[in-house]
Amino acid sequence: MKTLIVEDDPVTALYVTEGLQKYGHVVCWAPTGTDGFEQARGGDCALIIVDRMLPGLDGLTLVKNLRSHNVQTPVLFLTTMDDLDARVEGLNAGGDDYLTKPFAMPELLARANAIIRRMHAAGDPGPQTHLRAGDLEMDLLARVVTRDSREIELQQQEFKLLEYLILNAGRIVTRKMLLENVWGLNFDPGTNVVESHISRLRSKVDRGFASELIHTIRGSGYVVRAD
Amino acid sequence: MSSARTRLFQTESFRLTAIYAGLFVGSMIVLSALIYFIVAQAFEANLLRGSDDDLLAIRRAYNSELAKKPKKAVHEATEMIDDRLLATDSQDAFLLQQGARTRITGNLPLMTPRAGEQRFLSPLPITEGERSEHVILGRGEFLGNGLYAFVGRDLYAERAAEAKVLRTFGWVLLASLVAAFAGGLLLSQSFLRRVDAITNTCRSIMAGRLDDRIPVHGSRNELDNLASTINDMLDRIGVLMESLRQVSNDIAHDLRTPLAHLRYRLEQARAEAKTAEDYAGPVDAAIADSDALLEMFAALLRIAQIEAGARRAGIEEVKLDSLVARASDLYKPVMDDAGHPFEVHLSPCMATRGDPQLLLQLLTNLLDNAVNHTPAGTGIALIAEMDGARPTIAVVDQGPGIPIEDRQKVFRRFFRREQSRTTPGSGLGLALVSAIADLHGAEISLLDNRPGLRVVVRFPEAA
Repeated sequence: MKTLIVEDDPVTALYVTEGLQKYGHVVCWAPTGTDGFEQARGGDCALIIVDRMLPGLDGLTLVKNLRSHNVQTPVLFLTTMDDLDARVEGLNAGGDDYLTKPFAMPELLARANAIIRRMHAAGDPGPQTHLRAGDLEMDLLARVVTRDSREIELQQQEFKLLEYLILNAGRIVTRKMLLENVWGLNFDPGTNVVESHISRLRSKVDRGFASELIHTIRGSGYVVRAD
Repeated sequence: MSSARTRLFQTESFRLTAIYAGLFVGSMIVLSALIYFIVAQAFEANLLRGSDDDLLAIRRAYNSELAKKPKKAVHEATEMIDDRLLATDSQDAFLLQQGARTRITGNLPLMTPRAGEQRFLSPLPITEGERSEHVILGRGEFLGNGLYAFVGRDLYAERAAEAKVLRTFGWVLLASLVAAFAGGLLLSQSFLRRVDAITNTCRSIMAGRLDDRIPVHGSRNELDNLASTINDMLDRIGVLMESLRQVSNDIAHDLRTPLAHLRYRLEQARAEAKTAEDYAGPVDAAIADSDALLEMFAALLRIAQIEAGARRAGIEEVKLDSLVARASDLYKPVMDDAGHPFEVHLSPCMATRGDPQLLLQLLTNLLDNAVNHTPAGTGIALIAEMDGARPTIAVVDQGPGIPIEDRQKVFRRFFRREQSRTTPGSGLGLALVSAIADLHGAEISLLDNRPGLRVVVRFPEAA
């Protein structure tokens, strides 16, 4: 799994490279935008991580150029430009996700994996109507959740939360990812919002069953694992 | 001095005046040339008519006798001319001659007899002006039997009148040129003075006197309008600079404490920890400290961005009731976990224009405050309703409230009341709320809920 990082700051580049290597990514580093474009245009990377402010070619233009050369490799912007408009710009230019520096390694890893998975899933025929994790089953059309053939009643938000977790089953999902994708928030509302929702969901999904589905990964986020 | 003078001539108003004066002079010249030409024509025609009348009289006198006695006829003509010459003024010229060689009478010397209009330098004695200025214009005619008569007039007086007309035109032209020049100078001087005032103010602001403003005369002309627009702009820039200065001050003062804590923790770990396990605790704490610091930076930046009005792209129609529903969905479990009875009152609300993310953040900050600053078991309510024509959101609790003297201070960055020192928070939440409210033109008030606090955000009247 080859990942290209386009980043002019060597410290950040090294931090990201080491972090990703630990989880099995093969990482190439391009220190300028022009370099990055040359390396990325072959289209053999699984993911490109791009800074916005780069020498040579800026990140936004780099991604636009790639897209216009029909290179569809997923792109994650990793940048200090963090106002809301900058984020929208990045996604409009063809980015798949946008993470602002400073960031925590688990956050970057979780997002990188989510993007790559999404890319693979995109090849599947049609949207899924049924999700399964261990003995839990979700019918997305009828909006029915059963575990061990017992029906579990969920509120709308809880259903969305569970759906997102199970879509990413086996991979860590961070607080921020949940806030963005389940509640559509691009800020952190603070106090325990995610924790409270998760614990409520847990009390319905896990309580009274032999094994836990939703696990907390300290300092990172949550993961759905059936073991 | 000379450069000041050059500057006067280089102003736009002087240039415009010069162009205008040039056009005026040009048209004056064309006009006076036309008038001069017409007047000269009229004068000459008039003179010719006079001399033609004389010529006609001479011919009549001649013809009246011609049939009976040709000698008498010549005499009659001669007498006629002599009579006229007796009463003559110097501008009349007469000649009667027989053939080319015999001069009969008149005040002109022999001429080559030629019929028709003639013009030549006057041979008569002159009393004024140069000889070259005396031109005789007249007509010659053959009366019959080789008798030739010429009657003319000296053009001198007419020429003098024409010259006078020209001179008058010249003076008028000169006077208007002087007036235009002086006017141009005056205009450009007053213009320069105003522009200089603007330039000087800008220079002085660049030099650091940020409170300087361009003097406005109150005359509502375009320069005054420009000046007051620039002043408004300077005021706005001043507000922004003030907010930036505030941010840097905040960073300098209020972020120093947590940074010092962080350093203290690391230093202590360095000095005391022996094993990797000993390090783990302080390092985790240091990471948490840095995260908190980074969050404070992010919050400060966000406040500054919002205060600068940088985020305009996200403005759209927002339904406050659905916004409130989203916020309550988000906070219901939090309230349950923290043991706060939570009520939501939704009345149908008009839409307002705003940024949904920011407004949601405003709401969650207020709810967060209610959860964090009231004891467990305190009732909290979230209300969306119309106050007259103004959509209004209120977050109400029955906790300890905020005393009147602190109600303005809590909106300041990093302000934390003594009672809240131990609760989590950065002291930036309400500052952000206030910035977001300002951006939306909303009015925010902290009221006494007897008991508790009622935070009311009133949005501008829905359009």
